[in-house]
Amino acid sequence: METMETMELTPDLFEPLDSAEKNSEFIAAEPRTYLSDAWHRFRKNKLALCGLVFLVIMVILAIVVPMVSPYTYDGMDYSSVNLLPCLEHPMGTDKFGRDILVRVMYGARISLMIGFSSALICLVIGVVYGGFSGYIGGKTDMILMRIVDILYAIPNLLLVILIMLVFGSNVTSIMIGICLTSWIGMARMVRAQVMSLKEQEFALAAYVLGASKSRILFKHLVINCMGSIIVNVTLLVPSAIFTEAFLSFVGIGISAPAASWGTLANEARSLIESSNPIQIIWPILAICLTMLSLNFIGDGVSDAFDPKKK
Amino acid sequence: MLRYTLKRLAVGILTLAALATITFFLMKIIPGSPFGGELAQLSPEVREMLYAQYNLDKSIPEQFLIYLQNAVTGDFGDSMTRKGTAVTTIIARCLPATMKLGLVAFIIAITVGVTLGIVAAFTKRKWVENLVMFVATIGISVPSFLYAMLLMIVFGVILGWLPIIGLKTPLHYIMPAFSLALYPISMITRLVRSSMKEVMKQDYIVLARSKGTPMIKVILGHALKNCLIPVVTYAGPLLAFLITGSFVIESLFSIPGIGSEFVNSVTNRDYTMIMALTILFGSFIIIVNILTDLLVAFIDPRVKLEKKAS
Amino acid sequence: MSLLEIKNLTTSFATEQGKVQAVRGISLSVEQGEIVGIVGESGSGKSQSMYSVMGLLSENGTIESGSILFDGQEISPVQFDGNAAAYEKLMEGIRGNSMSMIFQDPMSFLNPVLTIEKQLVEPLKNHKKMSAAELHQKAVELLTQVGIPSPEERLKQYPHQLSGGMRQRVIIAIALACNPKLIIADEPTTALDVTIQAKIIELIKELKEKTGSGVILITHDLGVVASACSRVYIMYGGKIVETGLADEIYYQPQHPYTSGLLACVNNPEEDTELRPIPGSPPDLIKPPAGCPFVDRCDKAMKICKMKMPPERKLSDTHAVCCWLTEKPASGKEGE
Repeated sequence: METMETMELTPDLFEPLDSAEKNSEFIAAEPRTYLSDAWHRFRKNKLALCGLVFLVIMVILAIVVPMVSPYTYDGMDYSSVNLLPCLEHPMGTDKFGRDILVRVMYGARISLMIGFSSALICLVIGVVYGGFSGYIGGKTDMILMRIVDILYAIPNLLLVILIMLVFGSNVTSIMIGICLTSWIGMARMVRAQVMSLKEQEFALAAYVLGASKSRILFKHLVINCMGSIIVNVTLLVPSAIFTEAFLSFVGIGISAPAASWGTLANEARSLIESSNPIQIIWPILAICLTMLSLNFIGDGVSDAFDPKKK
Repeated sequence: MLRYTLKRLAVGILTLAALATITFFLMKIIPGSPFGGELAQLSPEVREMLYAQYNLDKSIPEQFLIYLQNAVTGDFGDSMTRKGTAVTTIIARCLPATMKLGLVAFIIAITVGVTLGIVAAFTKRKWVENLVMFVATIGISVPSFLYAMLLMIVFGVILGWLPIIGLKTPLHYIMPAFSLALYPISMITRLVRSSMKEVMKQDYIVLARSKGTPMIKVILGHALKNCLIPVVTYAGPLLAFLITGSFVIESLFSIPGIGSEFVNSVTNRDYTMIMALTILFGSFIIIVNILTDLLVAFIDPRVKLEKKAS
Repeated sequence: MSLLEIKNLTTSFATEQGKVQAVRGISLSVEQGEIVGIVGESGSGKSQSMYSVMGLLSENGTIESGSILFDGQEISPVQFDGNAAAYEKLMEGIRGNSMSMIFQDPMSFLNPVLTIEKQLVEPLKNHKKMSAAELHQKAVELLTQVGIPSPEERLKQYPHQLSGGMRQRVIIAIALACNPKLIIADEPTTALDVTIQAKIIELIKELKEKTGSGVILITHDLGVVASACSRVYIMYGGKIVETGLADEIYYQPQHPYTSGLLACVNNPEEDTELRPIPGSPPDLIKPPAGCPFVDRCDKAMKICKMKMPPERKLSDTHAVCCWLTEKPASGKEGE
């Protein structure tokens, strides 16, 4: 810059500038699609990324460990009870001689399956129900929303318990119970967004161009509230896992010898004062770290989809 | 305002009726009987007497009508497992403990949560914010039974400072109340912080500052009211949840409350008890929802109550 | 002595992409009782330069250097050397009192959960000792002054119950509350209908006559400036590229950007075509070494790309920064 100051103003400097030397339309940022843009921002969040890595490892372990391990989740072995962690049993064994690693990983299967599948079911029901309600509007909307209001007044744990009374204490009935109440939040959110989006010009434009109603709803409106939908899903997974853990912990969820994380924590409860408290650590560690990862991922996702953070 | 409240109450009663109906018929299709094994040992006469006492000899629709008639007059029948005791008596005995504990936990959750949230939102030290947020994320990642167990081990067993069973003295409240409150504290902290940060970015904060209003007055006079709206929407259902009891915490601390009563009645298939408790929980939620909506309308003048009710 | 005298003000914002140099060393002055226009398109730094003066920059913004002399007092945060609390204390006494701001968007600048009265009396509460009755009395007066009918009722209402034009008037009333010496109006008409626009400009002119305050009118509309301002500053890419009396700017624009802006204004007397300026403003994360307008200028020369032109005084009031005016007499073929 200093040399510029003393630069001599020669006439050739006042020659017209070639248009090729101008860059009149500079592009401030590389064009990215909505999703890759969000992913780009998600990647910058270290905690969320750690959470994602941990979760992926957990899923792989949950699938692989019970398959390759020589032990089963309910195989008792009275010759090796209450073992401390060792080579054959990396997490030790419980009072029936069952391998804790296999049981924790089996629990991971149940807990993660409940978490992810109920979130998925809620996603589908919530989006379709809320989408239709908001898009059609009028009387249909009113009736659909009154139904939602009634369901909303039922405490969700209560409903889960009632469903389990009817269909028995198993994974399916827990999932039905969770799904029956959890889709409501999603449906309300989607309805509210669709209602405001359908008034906007682009929806009218699609209509004028002759797009069918269901196409407008799902290809134009729902896509536009995808950010909120994804954020909502990342909240549903941990809450479903929590619900199951609570129920199993008080003994009305998944029952022994099957093992979810809640059941394992419940079994470990009696061991608080026993000689071998290390057994409690594993299921607790598994559930806490998984929940922590899920919540970090959830935070990362909601930041990534926040339009104001661009 | 009054018209709106009455309208909502009317809808609420309809909702309760629907809830009662669904629960009643669900009870009827549940396999298994409250009299369980003992039934086989009873003579046919006694069995008939028992059936007649609980109207089980009539057809299901008839039973439902009788139940509704009695329920309207406040008679919810006798407990099936504790014969001769009206369920209302049992509820009246259990409810105060649960409500007291719930209210204490609720107050702790709101005060601590809002304070921490504001601290995290305004602190100039980045590490304070990060620490508060990290702890709050752990707070929503760990199931409450784990805190409860941890508190029990540390303060009850190892240090021996606090009693771990029952609810006799104020000291007894500390551990169960905090175990109940930790999750909502974390939730409210996160909510207040993000909502506060969002509000502080709004244009009307700039206008308030342009009047020469000191920052502290801007926060308390302009931002807090706006930031409380999402907190109130969360706190309403939370109150309902807390005063209807957390069965997990009650069962862990052996508190004779409504939550543990519910778990007992589920495991013992005490139908009359389940019915009464379902209706009780349902009414709590309905009332709290109405109060929440009224409070939100009070804080935010843009919310029009009448329109929402129609 | 000028009411406001800004020298070499530089303001930047820290963003994820890098440091945005929004205001790059501007100097301007405002006298008592005059309306000065600052004109430029969005992103030219005109609003941020005035937010800097008010000390209302968002958290990521900093004033890097420069002096701001207001009513004989130095109010630039640079002099406080990191003592943010002392600066804030000084500004709290000035803001809303002797210097106030009228904001752009009447929809978002009023707090939705507070009544009009509460928001209107706030500057009075901050700066004047008045009883509740006096405050109310003054609030009614202010609303009447800005032409809001039935002020008593309006005071009890919330912002969402008022129309856009009405809200803009409330914002003006808030700015006027303490009879400020300087009013900064940041695009006060942009969000409004054309008919209301004219009324608001008339209102600002009237109030200036009555109170004798200095007014800075920030706008992107040269038409608005023509009807209200005595002097004009044209801003582009964080710099002032031309300044002069309104007439000088209108009839003898020297900077190609000013000419371009004038071509965008519809003149009903001459049946000329509206000509938009092609291209977009420069990237202020990597501000150009030369003239910021070079990439969009149809008279651009080689030197424009290399070096920022110096300020050239054409008369006592008219000055411009453009290499065209520096051009040696010999090189005529560029025209």
